[in-house]
Amino acid sequence: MNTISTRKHLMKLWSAHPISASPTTRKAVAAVGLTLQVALALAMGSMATASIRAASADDEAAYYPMVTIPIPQGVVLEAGGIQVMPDQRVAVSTRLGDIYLVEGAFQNPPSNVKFHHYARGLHEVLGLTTRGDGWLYATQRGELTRMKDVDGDLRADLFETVNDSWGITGDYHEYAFGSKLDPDGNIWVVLCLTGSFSSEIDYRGWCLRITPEGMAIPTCSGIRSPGGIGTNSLGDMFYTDNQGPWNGSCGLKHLKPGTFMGHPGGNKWFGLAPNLGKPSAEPVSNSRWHIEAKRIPEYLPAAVIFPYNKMGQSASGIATDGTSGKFGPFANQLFVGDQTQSTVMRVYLEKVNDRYQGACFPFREGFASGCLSVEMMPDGSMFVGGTDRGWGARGGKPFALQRLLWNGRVPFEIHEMRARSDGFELTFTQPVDAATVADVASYKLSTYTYLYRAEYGSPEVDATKPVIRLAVVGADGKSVRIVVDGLQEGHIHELHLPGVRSTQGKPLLHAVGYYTMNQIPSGTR
Amino acid sequence: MAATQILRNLVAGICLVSARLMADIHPPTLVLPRTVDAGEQLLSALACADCHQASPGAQVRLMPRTGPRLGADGPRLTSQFLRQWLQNPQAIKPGTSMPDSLHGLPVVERADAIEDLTHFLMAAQGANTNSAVAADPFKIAQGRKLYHEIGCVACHSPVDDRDGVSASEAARLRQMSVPLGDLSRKMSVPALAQFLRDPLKSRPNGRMPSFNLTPRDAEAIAMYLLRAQAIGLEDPSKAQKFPGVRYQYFEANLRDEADFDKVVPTISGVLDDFRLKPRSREDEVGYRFTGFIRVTEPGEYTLYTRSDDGSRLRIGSQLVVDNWGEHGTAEKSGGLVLAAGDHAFQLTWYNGGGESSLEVLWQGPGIAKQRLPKSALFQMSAPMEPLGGENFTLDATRTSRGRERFASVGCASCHEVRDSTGLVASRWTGKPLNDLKGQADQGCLATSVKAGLPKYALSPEQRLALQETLRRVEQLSQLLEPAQQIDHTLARLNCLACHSRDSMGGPEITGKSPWFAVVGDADLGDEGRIPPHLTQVGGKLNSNWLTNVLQRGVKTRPYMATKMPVFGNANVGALPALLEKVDATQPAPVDPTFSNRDVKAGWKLVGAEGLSCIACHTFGRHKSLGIPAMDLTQMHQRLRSDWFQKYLVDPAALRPGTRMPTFWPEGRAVNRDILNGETAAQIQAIWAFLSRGAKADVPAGLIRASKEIVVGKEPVIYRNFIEGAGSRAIGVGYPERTHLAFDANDLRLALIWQGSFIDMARHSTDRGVGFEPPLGDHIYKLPVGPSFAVLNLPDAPWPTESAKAMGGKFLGYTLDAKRRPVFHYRLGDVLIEDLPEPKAAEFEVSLQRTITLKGSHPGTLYFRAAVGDIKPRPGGGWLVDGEVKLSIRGGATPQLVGKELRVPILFRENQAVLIEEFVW
Repeated sequence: MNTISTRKHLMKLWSAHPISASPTTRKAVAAVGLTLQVALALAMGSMATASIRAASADDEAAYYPMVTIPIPQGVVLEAGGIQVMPDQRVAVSTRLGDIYLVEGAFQNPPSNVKFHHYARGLHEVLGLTTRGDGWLYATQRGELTRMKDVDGDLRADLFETVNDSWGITGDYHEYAFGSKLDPDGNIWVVLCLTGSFSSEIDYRGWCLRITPEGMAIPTCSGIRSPGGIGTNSLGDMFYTDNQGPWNGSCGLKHLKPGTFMGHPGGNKWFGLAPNLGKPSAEPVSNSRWHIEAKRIPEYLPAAVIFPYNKMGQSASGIATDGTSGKFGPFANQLFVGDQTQSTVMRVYLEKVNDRYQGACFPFREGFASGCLSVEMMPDGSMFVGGTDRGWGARGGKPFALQRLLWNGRVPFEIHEMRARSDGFELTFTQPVDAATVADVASYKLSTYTYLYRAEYGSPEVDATKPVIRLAVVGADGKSVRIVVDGLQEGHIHELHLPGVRSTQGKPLLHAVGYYTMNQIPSGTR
Repeated sequence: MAATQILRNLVAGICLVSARLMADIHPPTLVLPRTVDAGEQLLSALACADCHQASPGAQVRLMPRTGPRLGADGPRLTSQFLRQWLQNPQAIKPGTSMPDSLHGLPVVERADAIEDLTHFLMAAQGANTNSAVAADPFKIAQGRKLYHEIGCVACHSPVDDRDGVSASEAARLRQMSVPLGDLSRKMSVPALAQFLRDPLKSRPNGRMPSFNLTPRDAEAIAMYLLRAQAIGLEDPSKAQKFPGVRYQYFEANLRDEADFDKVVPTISGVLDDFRLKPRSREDEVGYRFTGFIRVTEPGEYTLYTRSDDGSRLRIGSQLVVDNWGEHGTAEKSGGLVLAAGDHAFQLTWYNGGGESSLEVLWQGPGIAKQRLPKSALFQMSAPMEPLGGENFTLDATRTSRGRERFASVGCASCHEVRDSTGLVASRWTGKPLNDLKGQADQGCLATSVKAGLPKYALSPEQRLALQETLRRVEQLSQLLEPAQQIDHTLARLNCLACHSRDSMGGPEITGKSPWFAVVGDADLGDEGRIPPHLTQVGGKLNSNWLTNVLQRGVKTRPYMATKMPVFGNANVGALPALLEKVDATQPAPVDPTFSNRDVKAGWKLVGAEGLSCIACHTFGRHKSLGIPAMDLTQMHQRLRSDWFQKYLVDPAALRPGTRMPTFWPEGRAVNRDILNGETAAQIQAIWAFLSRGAKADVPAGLIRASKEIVVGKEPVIYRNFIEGAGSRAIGVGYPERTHLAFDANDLRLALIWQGSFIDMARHSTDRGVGFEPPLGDHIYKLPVGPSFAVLNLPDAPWPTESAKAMGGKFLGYTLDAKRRPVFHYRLGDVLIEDLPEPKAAEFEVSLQRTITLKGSHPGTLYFRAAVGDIKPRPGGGWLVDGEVKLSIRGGATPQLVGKELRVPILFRENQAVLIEEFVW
């Protein structure tokens, strides 16, 4: 794509924007003579037409209520890692380096919760896991550590360095996020760059996996600024990477061993990773990710992009619902936090030509602080830890620990969104009203992408408006096939479903999905 | 694309193909708004109405762009430049709009005319300020950075490349940039610097705006633009004597003066005296100054240095003042006899850490003890002066003939020149503009321009555009709609090179986006570097504020490298009212009287207990807790309240891609506690609070209080960035009020201290940036580098590689029954347990360290116990740097090797124990 067409699209983007258009709004405003309330009403009214998320936290709470766990005075619980222990105490690690064992965390209401100060003075722990053998594994900035309470006083007294193959210079940006165990028992560590652009010390901008024996295996390059890491239901590892250089918007990326995640800042460390062979080719700035993916075989673009502002602004922790229905209708789907917007988003993944891609949906907003760690518990509840330190968050509280429950009611939602060679197939969580679902006027589809470039972030570019030709209700009465003219390879497909109703006449709780079409599937149906 | 559109683009400068020939006039604007006619824009830019009288209406629309003022009010030009310039302006500055008005003259007469005009202009300039200055590589580098960052390259050509810009794209950008031409013969550094400080003085039309440059920045940019003059930088034989001193600035441990020769200076350049700037840090820095001290009165002199830490002054080869060593401000002196003349000197200074200062004084015949004055300091530097310099002597006859010609040829129509007899009036006029209607292919626009008429280097497209406009010339008398007036102004002043408005312009469109930078590493994305869009800006900003910005260039985005320049009231004075008229849907709402309750609720919402706006926004002189987003105390002054209300509810709708989140998604308040979660009431309360401006009470959570970790009955671990102990420091605070920090990267005890442990405020607020030093006193820094090494010879140099590189590995720590850590690490096959234990006595504090080594290794393993000034103590043990009493038991006899105390380790049955004790 050359710069001229980019500019054209930029212009389009601008002229489509409410502020540069909308003479009717202007007149209306002029006619009314504003009071503050009227101004607000208008601001909101003009937004409603472009509305993405109709559901409020209250609407969502009708299905997924939230329990806020009381935190004792004096405890600063900027929760970076959460792990339930065999004794049902929940270990919570913090950015200030404390680890607490929370007793009674599963109570509802949480009337008798106790915090035990298990460890203190560690270095910004953003990852906790256990093998169930008494050791708690914690990823600190500079090392993976395991610790144990030997004398049984609920305080760790043995701290072993499992691996410290990577370096830290002392730059605050050099975070390290640690995963749970993969199917082979490895812990994966994603290492933030030194700042946004460069890697000043070993393995910054890389993913290492640490074996049970404590050996580090260089696994992926090209990482910028992770916010969380976790596996899907098949045990494949994913992490979130944040908007910045070479990341036009935040995204969920598959850490397939040997692949390059897109930011070339850390490529200088290929010399430390003979198992990965030659460095992958440098990407071309101002290109598009699907174009570079064809040129650079190791490059694996984000499986799912979270469109900036619309879905989130700082993607963070990842949890997969492996509870087979205890958390509602979304078994095996992924849930991803957003720190700025204090939300948890939902992700459906599928494979096209052996590469993951898929869609994201709004799921739950209204968390008390900026969501950082997200942990699915075996009982079908989800723990979400938050912080707004250094990065503002909508929730407004400096830190929080909350638990999301499913109350057994099934919200009317898009369940899955799959790409087809000529459109999409969507399933729903409830039977649908055939008349509205079969009406192409019930949908609005647009596409766009982001620049893949060395500069920070990107505006939305290359916007198109494909035409929905046909919508056919599935035989199961819970799905629809949408036939589209003009699917765009490499674009986000933003599908709104304002007209779709359930058989009970209800609109969707969240009537939008964002599908990242890295590849258009071949084949017929 | 329609042909007219292509034409418009060509004339406007958005070259879709590189169509401009080198000899064509540069397009007068980079981005041409839709409502502005390309021909009209050219008529304005070429100042046609300066010669062709326009109707009063057309005069207002065209705002004829006069050429630069010349003479005393203009830039100081050289005679060699003027002569060459008048000969062929397009050859010197391809793209210039200056016509050739002498083209019809016979060769001899033409040369004569050029000579006359040159004499006249040189005479009008008055005293020559084209003097040489000392070339300074540091200033040139600074100027280069400024030129590429503050906004010069939004209009002019970037010189430095940027990542992701292809060579062909760079060439296109160069061609569509406003040309500078070859400046090296044209001006001196002081003359150009003077011009840059106040461009509006000589170019009142505002197309070269003022960046309110400081004298220092103006000089740096001038030096950079005239860098071709610095030919002597590589050739010492070209050096000349100038006032000032030469300096080299070092960042290194320079305790030994010989170290100055082992490191490369970070910055070199020229200063006017012994100022310790530029300097990017306080600790481990040094300066070396060289130059000459000028003595006018021979006799006995005393020289003094007053410094913190050490300094040494040499005159010739003689060490005159020896004030070396680490100390607070201390004065030392030395005397010598000096003859009249210049005496070469060298002054070295360094600072190990903490406070720093340097002063040089002298006393001599008739000179009381005083600071060595700047007037006595000289240095040798490569000179910078205009190339092709000549001895120019004014000829009175030519000067007066030149004045005649200046009036008669028409130069005075565009250029104002004031000399001793006043303003030179032009005696040249063209036909009135309206009369050109039927003659658009004649006169200056003819294919072959007649002698006596100015010859412009118009491209065929530009000629066509002018002709098209002249065909309906009477329309130029019509008054423009306000929206068109705005577009005309934005086009004329190239505002759209930096800002977009209504989908037009902006760096993304011009292609110069990669040169727009953020200051430092502010994590703000495009918002941090691309100037704000101007779509509906008149409905956003108060017109008073707009006036402020346009007339004074107020900078509200300190993180943005590009500065908003000043265009002059005459050029932009009407803009605020026009923008308000066009963009705003209603007059700016007047604030109601806010209640105290509103202000207090707003205070709460802005602070940490509310929405924590301060997590990102600066608040007056207080930095935010995170990114440096715009100052909250300026919001009320800047913004209209109706815009503010809409913006808070949906920021991304008014500023696409902004990092500002909404706290009222879909209009519903996220915070339900304050003002019952009512959106309108919350936003009004914030506005009420912001209306207090700089007087507003500082929101809660902004001021970082100290957070000392007070050690109780048990030791406390603190792993973080600790100054002096590295990025993987493990601080341990003990109840005995004796503390330490272990460096897990280098496997060494790094620091021990007494008193208070550490302040964790730095790491527990904001993003936790930086290294925190110990809080207490008696801080002793142990040797940097590995603690253990295998040596072939007892006096072999101690290795400098990292412990990790030598096979070292940190294994962790265990907490003993008293919860004191025992550190475990490994060196090759030797496992080490390291147990520090503070011992509190009534008067003396001590720390005992038991190091147990297990395993085997080839060769002799040494422990380096100390580095510094080490003396044996009577009765055993050692005194280090006069402060720390050290004893070691368990190893072989310690050996003093140079400044190092080494202990050979004796293994028995694969085990050794060392007991080290510090009393300090």
